[in-house]
Amino acid sequence: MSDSRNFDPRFDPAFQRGFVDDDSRAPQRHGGIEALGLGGEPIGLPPQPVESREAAVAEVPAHPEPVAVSLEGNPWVKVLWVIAPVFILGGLIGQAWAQSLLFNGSFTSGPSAFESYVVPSVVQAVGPWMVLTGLAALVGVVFLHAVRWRAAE
Amino acid sequence: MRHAPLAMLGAGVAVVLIGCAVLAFAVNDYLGNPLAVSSTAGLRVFRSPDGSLGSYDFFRPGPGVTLITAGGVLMFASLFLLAVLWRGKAVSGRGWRSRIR
Repeated sequence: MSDSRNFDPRFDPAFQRGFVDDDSRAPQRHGGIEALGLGGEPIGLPPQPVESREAAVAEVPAHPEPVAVSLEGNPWVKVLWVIAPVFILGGLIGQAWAQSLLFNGSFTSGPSAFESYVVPSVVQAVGPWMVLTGLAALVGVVFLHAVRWRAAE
Repeated sequence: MRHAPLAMLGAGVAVVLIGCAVLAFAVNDYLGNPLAVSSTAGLRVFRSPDGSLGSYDFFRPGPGVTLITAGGVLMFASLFLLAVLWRGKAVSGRGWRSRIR
């Protein structure tokens, strides 16, 4: 229930002195953002008046700030950092190698049909996906670092 | 919370393994059926281990390679989700230094 005492009708009461909106007392949740470590802790009720200073000190939580999640020690981020360059370089080198084997213009017999046809064809088919996955891993891991970056104090 | 990405990772590995098996079967079938040697086909001629000559058309990767790439993409997506959802143990400290490591 909103308070509508003596508010200037030209402006939104929510931005005027003395406005109290009971709806804002309900805890607000930011579900999806918690997973990204942006401190999406639910916003609790507004502080209630306490009887004494000692009681107020006792109510203060040990860690009042939202706990951020560092990427240090995250094994999955290390895996992503490894597969990103490996997939990008492997895909590019594999593509170039497959192209040179398949279309070198020579019809003399190669070492074997497996090495001349099968391996280049498979590498040529998998190579673009490797490059794409490596780029996605690189973008993803950089995005994670950017989201969880904290400036130095 | 992490069960779904782990299951996704396992599914990706399974799809890659199935793709490798399908590809191995296709390669075995391809190498086991050489074409007749022809001077007008424009194809390379290879000598098999038993000494006979054979020619092969270009190898066309079938569903095996598709399964391998799909499994790889699935594995990457699960790895990214695991990295996002990963939670370490809390360490002492105050302010932004009180991170979870």
